[in-house]
Amino acid sequence: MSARVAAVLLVLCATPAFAQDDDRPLRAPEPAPQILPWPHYAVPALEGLTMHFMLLAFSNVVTRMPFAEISGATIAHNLQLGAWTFDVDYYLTNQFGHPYQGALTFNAARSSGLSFWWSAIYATLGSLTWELFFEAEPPSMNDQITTSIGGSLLGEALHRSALQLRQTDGPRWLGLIGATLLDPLGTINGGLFEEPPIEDVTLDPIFVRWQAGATAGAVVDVSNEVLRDRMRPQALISVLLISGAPWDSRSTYDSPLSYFDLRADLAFPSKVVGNVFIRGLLVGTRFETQTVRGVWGLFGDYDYAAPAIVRASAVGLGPGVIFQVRPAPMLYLQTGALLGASPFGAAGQLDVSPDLARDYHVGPGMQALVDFRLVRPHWFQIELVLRHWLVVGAYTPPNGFEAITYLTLGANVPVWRWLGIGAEATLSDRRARFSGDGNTHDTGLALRLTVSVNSDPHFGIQGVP
Amino acid sequence: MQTVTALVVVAMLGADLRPVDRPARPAVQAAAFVGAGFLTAGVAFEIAASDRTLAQYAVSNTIGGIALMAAGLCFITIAAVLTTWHFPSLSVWATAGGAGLVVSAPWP
Repeated sequence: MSARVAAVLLVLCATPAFAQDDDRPLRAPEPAPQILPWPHYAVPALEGLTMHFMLLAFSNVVTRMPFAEISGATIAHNLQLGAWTFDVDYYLTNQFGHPYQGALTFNAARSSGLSFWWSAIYATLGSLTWELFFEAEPPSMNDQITTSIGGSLLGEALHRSALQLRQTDGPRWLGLIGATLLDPLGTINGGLFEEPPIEDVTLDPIFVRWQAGATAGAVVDVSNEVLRDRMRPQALISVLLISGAPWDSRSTYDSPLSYFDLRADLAFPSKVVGNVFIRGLLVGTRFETQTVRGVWGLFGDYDYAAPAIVRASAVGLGPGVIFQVRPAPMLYLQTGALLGASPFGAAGQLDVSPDLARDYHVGPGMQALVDFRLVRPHWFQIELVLRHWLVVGAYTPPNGFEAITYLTLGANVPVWRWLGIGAEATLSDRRARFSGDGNTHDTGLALRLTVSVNSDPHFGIQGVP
Repeated sequence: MQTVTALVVVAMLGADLRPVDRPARPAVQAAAFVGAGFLTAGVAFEIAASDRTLAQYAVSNTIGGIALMAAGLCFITIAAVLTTWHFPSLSVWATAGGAGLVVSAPWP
């Protein structure tokens, strides 16, 4: 990967030199946080335990779920190493519910002033205690992986977003409501602690785009020429958040996810479908020449894509790069690439009832992401995003793989100040090869038309009047 | 006898243990009240678990009740951890004439 990065940089450096608009020096990293008093470690542990007990109580006295009927025997069984397995829970529960549960535990620690890595330990231990002591079912390895990694990435993205909202220039109450929705433990801990928790993050510059509109789509079985699924036009809301972009000299890289981008959307009401994509820099180095400014390093990736048939979700780590080049005056090309190894992924949709069996394939795999964003401030933003997931069915039979690709082409045009309109098309492709299930080739197309509100009319480009 | 007397004094002072320099923050007080609420709800479910008309839910009500009580205790522990407590200072003396324990309360 480093050779590839070097090759890309070489090509970019050979292009005519255009200075970036802002030539201020990059900011130095902030000093490391000091050691905190012991309540800052004890309270999040107690909060994690409290959430476990509350969820256990809810699952017993409200929903009466069999998994919650724990006993000494179930705990003794779960404490055996051989009890660990891969569960068959719903796709939503496993791939979003567990990461969100991990994010809550993570943010209990994060908003107590602990660092990203300390908080990741809390998320990991919180998941472990849940699997061992709070479920009557055997402990699940996939839950442990997705809750720890996905929870930490999702939690940090929500924590940083909530911090931005708490210090927004707008109405304080509105910022507080938004921050509480994103990071409820942050609001609770803000009230509980005597001194405001020490934040080891600097509020980095962000670009946010909210979109509302309509979407429609269909999935076709290419092999048999059969329409497999159709999503009639319905409402859509989506958000894109880019925090700490490396082409902005105000960005700092002092802790994990100093740079991250988050895309989330929700389509409703006839068929509720949501997607969440998070890419964040864990450890990295900035680079800068006259023509290019960027960052490369180790990235974390959490994806949850849930359209019918061609759905894919994974957590992963891997090398990546993101940078901006200015090929012409007032024209900016922002590019990123990431290749991640995923310890656990889930993909596809099988023709079985999810109430009876796992209706998707699971296994380790790879994630790849390449995106291009061409920006002319005040004029347009054109995006091309390629995502690919490879999930190998190595954890559970049958043997085989799922290869799922999304290609998204979108454009956004400002019409008045922060207001814009957008259009987007996503072509999806699924190839599944499994010994027991046969071969499958599905292709989908989803279209979106939206009205957008951008946080600034120049799409986050720094130094543009 | 002297030891017993000293222990009684310590116990009495201990029962009067309280935060003194300032009241706990509203959120901390709220955590304690929420904890008490969860504890009460947990006890209610434990009582419901013994109700014959709810026999089919006896197991889940029992486990749910215990979980609610545990959640309540966690809330109360959080409140206790974040409250400034002042314990009475103790000093022990021993001379040829005997030994003793002095307990002094730090609060006014």
